[in-house]
Amino acid sequence: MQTATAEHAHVATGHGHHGHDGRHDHHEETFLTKYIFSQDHKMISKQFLITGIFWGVVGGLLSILFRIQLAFPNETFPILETFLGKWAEGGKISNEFYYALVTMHGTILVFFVLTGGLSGTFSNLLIPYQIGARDMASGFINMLSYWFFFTASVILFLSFFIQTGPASGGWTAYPPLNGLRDTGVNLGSGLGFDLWALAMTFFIVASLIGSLNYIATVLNQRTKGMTMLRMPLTIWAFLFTAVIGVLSFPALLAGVVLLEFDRLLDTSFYLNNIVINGQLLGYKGGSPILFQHLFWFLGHPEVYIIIIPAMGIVSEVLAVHSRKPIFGYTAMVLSILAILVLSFIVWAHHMFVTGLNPNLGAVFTLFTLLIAIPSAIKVFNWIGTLWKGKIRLSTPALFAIGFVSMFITGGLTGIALGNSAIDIQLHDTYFVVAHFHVVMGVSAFFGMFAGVYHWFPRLYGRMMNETLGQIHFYATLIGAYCIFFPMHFMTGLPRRYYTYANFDTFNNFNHLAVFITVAAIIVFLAQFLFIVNFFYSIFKGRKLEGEYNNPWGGTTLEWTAPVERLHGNWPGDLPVVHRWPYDYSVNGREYIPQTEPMKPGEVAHG
Amino acid sequence: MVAFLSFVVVVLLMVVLVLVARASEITSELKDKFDYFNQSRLNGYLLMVFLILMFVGSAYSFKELMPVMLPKAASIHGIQTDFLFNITMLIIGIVFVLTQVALFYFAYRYNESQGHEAYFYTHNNTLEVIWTVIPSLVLTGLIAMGMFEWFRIFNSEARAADKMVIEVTGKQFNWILRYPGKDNNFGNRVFDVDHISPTNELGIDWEDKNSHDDFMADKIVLVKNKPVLMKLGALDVLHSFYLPHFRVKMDCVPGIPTEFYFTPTMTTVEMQQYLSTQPWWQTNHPETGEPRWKSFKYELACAELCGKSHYGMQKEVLVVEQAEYDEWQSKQVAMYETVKSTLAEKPGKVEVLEASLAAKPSLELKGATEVGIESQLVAFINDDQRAVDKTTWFSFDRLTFETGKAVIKAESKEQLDNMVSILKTYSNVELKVGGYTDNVGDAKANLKLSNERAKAVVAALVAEGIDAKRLVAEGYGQDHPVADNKTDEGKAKSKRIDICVTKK
Ligand code: HEM
Ligand SMILES: [Cu+2]
Ligand SMILES: [Cu+2]
Repeated sequence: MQTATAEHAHVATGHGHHGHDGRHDHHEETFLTKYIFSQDHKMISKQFLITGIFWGVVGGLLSILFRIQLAFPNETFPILETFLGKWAEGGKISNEFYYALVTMHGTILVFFVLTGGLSGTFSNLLIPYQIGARDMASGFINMLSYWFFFTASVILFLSFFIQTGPASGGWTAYPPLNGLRDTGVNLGSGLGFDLWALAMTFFIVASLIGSLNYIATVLNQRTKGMTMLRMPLTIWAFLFTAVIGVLSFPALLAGVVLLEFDRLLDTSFYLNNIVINGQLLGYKGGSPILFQHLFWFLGHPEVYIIIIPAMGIVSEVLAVHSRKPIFGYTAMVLSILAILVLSFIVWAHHMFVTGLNPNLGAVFTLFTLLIAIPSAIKVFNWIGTLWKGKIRLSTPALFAIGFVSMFITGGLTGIALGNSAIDIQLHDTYFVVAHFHVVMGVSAFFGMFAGVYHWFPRLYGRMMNETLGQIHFYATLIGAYCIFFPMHFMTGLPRRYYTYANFDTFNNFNHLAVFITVAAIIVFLAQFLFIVNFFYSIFKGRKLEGEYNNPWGGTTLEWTAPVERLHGNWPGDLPVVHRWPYDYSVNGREYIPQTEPMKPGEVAHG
Repeated sequence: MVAFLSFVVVVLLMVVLVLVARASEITSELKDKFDYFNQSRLNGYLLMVFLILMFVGSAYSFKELMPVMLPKAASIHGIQTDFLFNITMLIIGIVFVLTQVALFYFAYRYNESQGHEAYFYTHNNTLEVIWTVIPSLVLTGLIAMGMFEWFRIFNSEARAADKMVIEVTGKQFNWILRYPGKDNNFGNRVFDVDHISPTNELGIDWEDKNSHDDFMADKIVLVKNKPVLMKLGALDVLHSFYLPHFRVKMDCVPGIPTEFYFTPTMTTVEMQQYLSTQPWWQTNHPETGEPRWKSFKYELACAELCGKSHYGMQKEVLVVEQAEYDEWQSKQVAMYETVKSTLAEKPGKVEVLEASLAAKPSLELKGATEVGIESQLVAFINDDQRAVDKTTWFSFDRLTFETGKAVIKAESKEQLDNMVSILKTYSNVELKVGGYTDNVGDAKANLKLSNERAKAVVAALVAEGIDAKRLVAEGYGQDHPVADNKTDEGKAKSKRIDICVTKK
């Protein structure tokens, strides 16, 4: 039993809540409180994960639909009309629906899968487990966070079924296209966009209260001995991610609320001298560019909100499976910190050609290229971790390696884009599409897969099927490169084009479009290997043996809890931490759990 | 059917995969533990195979795709930014190769099946400083070069006095191109309801004398080696002025003027000549059947999502020598000329003036009805909202042939004459003429007949002085009935000549 010393007063909170024995000290759970309105971080984690998987399938499917249009602009597919009705009259996706598809694809993948699904799942699962807490600082707020996310999801999903269709002005929601409620200007800018804005509002609230909870938990609920510098990199990543979210999401909220003011109350925050069909509208004095500043003030940090948790997961998975400490722990923490700071002062690199003052453009180029340095450090440190390791090439490790490969490829092209003079030509072309899909889209998915395969036993007490996982890995790795590598050559091809038939200049890549689409369909189908594996393994996966089981031989606290997922996580006292989380292959031991006291004379690392 | 079958095959394939995977897992369970050791060995090899595949694939992409990328830049700054891009890509490429090799090689070399122990190695400050400092230096170099060029592009003080100026305004879904005329000064634009109207969307102030020689054109004509300042704007939503061949891009923002200053360095003809030396450009274009370089042209595109027909905002860009430009400009009619008469009659009445603009060009169409092909065609041409596409067809309603022959009956003359005047008035418009039949008789014969009839219509129009280049004829036979072929009435409807606008 622990005493609540002044230094570790937080431990007492954990006690007060659950008593010394998490196993027996709580009220009867009903189905509703256990599975639906659960306040248990593990259940909420699963809720985020499964909602994320749902959205992943939807978002992926949308991309297949618009890829079909891009590859076969002159063909018709009657089956599309059967399913989509007026959106694909005559078996051909209409241009209006095409733009709805790309808009929703972007929104869903960026926010609902890679932010909600990724951060929501792993922050919830790992923060309490890895810092040795019974649960989140506030289980109730944590539950609310999921239900706000759920509400946002429902609203966004419903917007597919309204008469004028979902939002179709791009995931970046630029006004005036999205700022006028006139469906004549843009079909999706009617009710569809209002629903988008409402969904985003709920989403932002979910993200904000979730993040505050993560921060509070990490800062206050660490168990005895878990100093900040003994936290696994996953926790650092989730902490910094939450900080970025809390600081940046409000800007988007403000931006979207003002946009709705323009739309609903005829204010002119973003509108000035708009002429539609030869009629001058009454808006005066606003600036469409203001919205872009607000949007990207979130938008750029948002990409790091997506990637930093994946980085944390990958750092942990690589260390565990290499049986070797993460290389340069302090540098890893500091580089995330640097990314955190810099990510707030690079947003205008998305706006180099908006007519921005050239001096400003120069400053943003400088900061943008600076952010490549901490990113590079991280890459070198991951490679350094593999060096002279004893790597177990299991599915999670493979995905972590795939992540590093993708992150390198995509990060490097950022260096071209970040240079404003070069970006004049590259902006809004497929080169950008290639860049961010590789560095963010695919990488983050790889990080997420690494995490799911690695912590599945923690979530469900069973293993996922290894063979299937490895097939899933190779199909996804090869397929993703096939989709996105060739896009780097489309340096002149504007993105968001329904067809290139109107231009001679852009018609040279038609054969490639077919190749990319076929690869995309294969990759999409390959994801069902994961989904089947996931749900199958929940019920039929290989069971972990014994009461305690640490399938990968990890040092961190989540593996010291019993296989059975208890409310309160540990049956007796909370574990006490004595060392950093990366004691692998040291002192003649394969690994030394964080809970093991230091031997006399042993040197602390980290 | 094919779709369904492939779906079934895919599902079956996945079921098989799942079963195999399950089986392998069960066997390993029997052996008590999953055999990670041998898996690691296998995956080590597979990762090396992947690494090699990746480089082979990259090399192949370069070989296949480099030739079809945009040709070399045709502007002074474009040559510089391309150079910067190439240097950056070279550096990136080297880092890419080194890091990917290290990553996959280490994964292979140090996988657990290699029979070694892991090396407890937490950090190395020297190493970490080195790999922080080197990228920093390289990046500093890139930033410096980039900034140098960036400031040169946007240095408004260093602009030539004798530059050209062109005003480009984006709207859904078209570009309005205004040239300042001989005086090189634009007439003022006023943003109020008195000036802006459907016929004067720009809100041009006709009382400003500078406006009197301003003219509009449907293409951008530039002079080789002569700097040009593009004054950019938008009426409704964001657009982006994108000249891919000149490496020019700048957003067009409603209510906020932007601009881009650059100097074209190659005329269209010179670029064609250059491309005629490039192997890929010597291959035949699938549509024209001629070498690709022959039909090369510079183009203007929109690069900011602006609504459902964003992808259709195309204009041709022509770069010529000064003399040719002067000649072209002398042929352009000032906008003011077309509105002047109305202005004189009712000075100050902008609306009236604009009404007259709207009526221009005044067409005299004989016997045309509101639903007839003439009205539909003119409405389509005038409607900027409707982009040219391959699915909008209009049917002749007063055009008849002698039975079974491709001879046009005399009663059709009125409608054909109307078409001639429309084509003369809208001199940009190009058409495709399609012939169709009912399903009576042999399909092949029908196809032939429909083809001949379409050609006959084209011939009739050409005979009246329409440039044959603007017209294409094609027979579609009986494949596209517009009505039920079971009734005589339906058959009569299906026998028809349709037109589709291919350019306007
Ligand atoms: C190595 C450092 C990086 C640099 C220098 C960089 C630079 C840039 C630049 C300049 C753009 C704007 C391109 C344009 O629209 O013209 C851009 C776009 C983008 N980047 Fe990066 N980037 C880097 C890393 C990342 C990372 C790590 C992520 C995500 C995890 C990311 C995600 C994105 C996204 C999502 C976009 C496009 C958004 C859109 O227009 O829809 N980038 N990047
Ligand atoms: Cu960014
Ligand atoms: Cu556009």
